[in-house]
Amino acid sequence: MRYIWALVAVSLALAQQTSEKKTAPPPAKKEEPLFKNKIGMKSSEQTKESASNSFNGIDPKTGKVDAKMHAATATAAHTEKVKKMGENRPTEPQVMAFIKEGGLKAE
Amino acid sequence: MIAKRLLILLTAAGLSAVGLFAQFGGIINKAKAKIDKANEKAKPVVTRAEKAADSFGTWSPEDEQEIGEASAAKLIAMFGAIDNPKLEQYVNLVGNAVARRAPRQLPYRFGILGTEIVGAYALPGGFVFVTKTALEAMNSESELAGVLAHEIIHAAERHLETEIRGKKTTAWAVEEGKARASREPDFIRKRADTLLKEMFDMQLSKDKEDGADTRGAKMAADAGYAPDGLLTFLRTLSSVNARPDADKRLFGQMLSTHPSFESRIANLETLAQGGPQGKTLETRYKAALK
Repeated sequence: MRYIWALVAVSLALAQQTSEKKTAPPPAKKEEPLFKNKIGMKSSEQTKESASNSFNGIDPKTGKVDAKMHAATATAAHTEKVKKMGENRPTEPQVMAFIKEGGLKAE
Repeated sequence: MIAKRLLILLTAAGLSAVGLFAQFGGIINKAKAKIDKANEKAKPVVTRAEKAADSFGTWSPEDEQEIGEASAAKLIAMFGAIDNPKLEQYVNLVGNAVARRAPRQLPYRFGILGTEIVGAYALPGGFVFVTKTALEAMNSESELAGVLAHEIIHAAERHLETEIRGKKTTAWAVEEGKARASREPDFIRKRADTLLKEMFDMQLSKDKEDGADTRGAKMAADAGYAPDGLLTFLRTLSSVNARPDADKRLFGQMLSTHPSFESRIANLETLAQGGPQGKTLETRYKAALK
């Protein structure tokens, strides 16, 4: 009698497992990323608020820069950043070394 | 008798006609003289206007630099700049390796904007920006060189400035004239605001865009890069844009101001066929991005 109960229990467990297997959704196929590379750096204008919206200032319907974004005003810090762009320009010897290293054409 | 009367009538009619003609001719001549006089009077005004328009034909190199700096500062205020000196230096080296062959020499400077949209922008005075996501979408240095070369052509040939002038000649010239005459302190900032608004709203002529693509690709090839760098990049963008999971904001701005990917690809394909071989430099590109 005990064996019978044990057999029934095992059968029920197996049946349940099989049914779970049948109803369980297939493992989600991992979506291929849009771009293979990733630059994991924050932008100078990124705040906690803007970090949650990576397309900050872009109209979701048209994909164009919105009016709020156009109203942005440059501060002294932005002007300073632009000045630094000029100061950090590579020198002629640096450009030549880069060209040579990459096997590019100098002339 | 009848013949005599007829002759008198005909003579009278003839004399009236001559009189009328003389009177009418006089009116015409007077009107003509008045028009000539008015034209003469208007001549100096027209000449002055033409001279004024000529003097605002293009910005002076000093104005171009100042407007470029103000526009660049505003662009950074809008999108933020990626603060990564190593990557910035790399982008500047690639840009300057290509810019040596630019049709006009400017102090070309390259920056990275911290936005998720894919794009690259050329401002007056040699300021060129590429977005963080555009860099992520590229797979080789030749692709970056192709994109920067396209922007260098825009900057060198003053495409943005000339396009705006072409579309709003009178308003633009009058506005500039007034601002200059009154030595308006906001002159540069206002120019920068207008310039960026137009850059994001206005579509450059297809000739200018196609020309920047082909001449840019040639310039990159002359510098030793594979001539299909820009073409490969555009093919990637086109295939990503076709994916259902791609956010439309990625390319919305670019597609609203440029010809379609397909049209640009077709334009570049003919150029890349049978062209010179060059370097793609994928390894150096990937190392720079890390």
